[in-house]
Amino acid sequence: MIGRREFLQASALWVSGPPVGPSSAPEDVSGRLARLVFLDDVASLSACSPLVPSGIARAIAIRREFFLAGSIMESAPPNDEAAAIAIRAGRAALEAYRPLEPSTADARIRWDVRLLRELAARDGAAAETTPPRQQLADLFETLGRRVLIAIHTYIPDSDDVEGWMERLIRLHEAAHMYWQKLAEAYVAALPRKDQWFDGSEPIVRAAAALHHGPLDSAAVARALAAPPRSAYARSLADAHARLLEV
Amino acid sequence: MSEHITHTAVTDDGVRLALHSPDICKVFHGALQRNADICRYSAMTRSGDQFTVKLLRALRDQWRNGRLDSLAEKKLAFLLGWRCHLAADRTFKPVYRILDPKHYLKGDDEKGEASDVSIYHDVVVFREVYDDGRAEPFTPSALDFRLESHPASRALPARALQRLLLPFWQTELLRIHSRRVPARFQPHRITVLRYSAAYHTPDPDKMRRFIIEPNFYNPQDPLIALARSLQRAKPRRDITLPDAVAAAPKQSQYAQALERAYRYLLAASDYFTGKIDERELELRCDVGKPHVPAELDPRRKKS
Repeated sequence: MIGRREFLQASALWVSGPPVGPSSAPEDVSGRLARLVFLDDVASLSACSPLVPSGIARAIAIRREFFLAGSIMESAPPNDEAAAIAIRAGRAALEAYRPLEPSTADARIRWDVRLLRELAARDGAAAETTPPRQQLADLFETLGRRVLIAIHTYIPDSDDVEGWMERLIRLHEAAHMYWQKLAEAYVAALPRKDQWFDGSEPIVRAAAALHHGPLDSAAVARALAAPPRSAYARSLADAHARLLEV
Repeated sequence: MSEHITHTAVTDDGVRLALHSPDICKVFHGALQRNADICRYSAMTRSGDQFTVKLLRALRDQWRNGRLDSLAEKKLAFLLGWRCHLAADRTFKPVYRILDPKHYLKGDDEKGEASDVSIYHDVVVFREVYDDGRAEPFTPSALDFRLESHPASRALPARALQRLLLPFWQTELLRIHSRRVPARFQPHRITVLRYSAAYHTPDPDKMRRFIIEPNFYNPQDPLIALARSLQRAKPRRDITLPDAVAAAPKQSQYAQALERAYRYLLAASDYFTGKIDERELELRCDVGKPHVPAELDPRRKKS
């Protein structure tokens, strides 16, 4: 088992060497949203943490896309130190997330929904009026369509264009299934507190609040100092600690 | 560069016209009928000239040695959608540069935000072709400012999801590459709020300069009218496809794009069934021809 210090040293090297295997078929994307919710919370905490070095906090803020995709990036753009730091920070944060990720696809969908329900509560969304499953799935598809507008055109894989076509087709099929399953599970789920997640814990509340504006540094420091109880809060605290050493 | 909605529409309409045409081969009909979604993926894929002819050759050879299986049919649909993407690019890239030359002073805008011309094109297509989002694959909320009109937006964390769905797709699209390097990372190119503003509160002067005066879209053009009637499953019997195609080059810009898309699909079909060779296919599909004439490209103009 690799120790944290060794992990951090290794992660510092990863930006110059691929951490991942060959491209894989995207048969299943369950759990991806939950990962992003977590990383997004880590990013918001880092921005106002009095402990995270400003260079790291800045890199995560200005190269957020590389922080969130850091786990699979083989390298950073040339002459872009902030991107390289963001990628290393993303990998470190994701390592802290590993214990939270369920091992089966169904459980990952339930975990996705658990965190989506938490986000809905943070947004003040109406928990008591869950729309029909198809409307929920339609919202995911609509959001996806807006992303396609935003990214404009697909960049094809010029090293393996035929394989890429197949993988792109399967990715869209997998995403479509994912939205359907998320919608179905969302209808059935209710927000709750347990040993996995408790939205009322100080560090979770601070991460949530920091998405919408700054908190004073003393309040953030208190939230970071409070002993985490749920698994989610422990992983957040762990990720925050790892950022101090990126 | 033309934009997502226009690319998708030219492909959707190109496919409708191809399915309506007795001159397009039955293999294509089958592939297009069963794989409309897949055509839409390639409708937004760049670099088509580099790959489509070679891949089409391989599929043709496969077909000659037997039948195309489901995956091969999907690939064929992908390639045909890709040709339609190029038809849109070759029609609209010069138009953007003529109507908004200041935006292209440094050449192409591959790394920058899109010109307003292309965004106004897209919102007009959203209205005209996709019935304000009521027609597939769009939804009426697609160009909202904050998904506010979507019936599920109050129950789901729409604001947070907007923040998360972009990195979701960026990461998954990178994951399917054989090299996950920065050049393959899909950047955030266009702020959708620009679409929302152009759609909900259009600037009358931009509508005049980019849409009305250049004759961007005319629903009376026979090729457009035929495509709309096919979309509604009520084909206009009074419009013949060959006549509509022949008239289109002198009609609205959107009709010109449809004519080009249909021409590319017909050439691909003729190649597939052995009526023409690869050289003729490339000629009819404009393969290798610059999307933007030299006089409209500041980089080539200087040299």
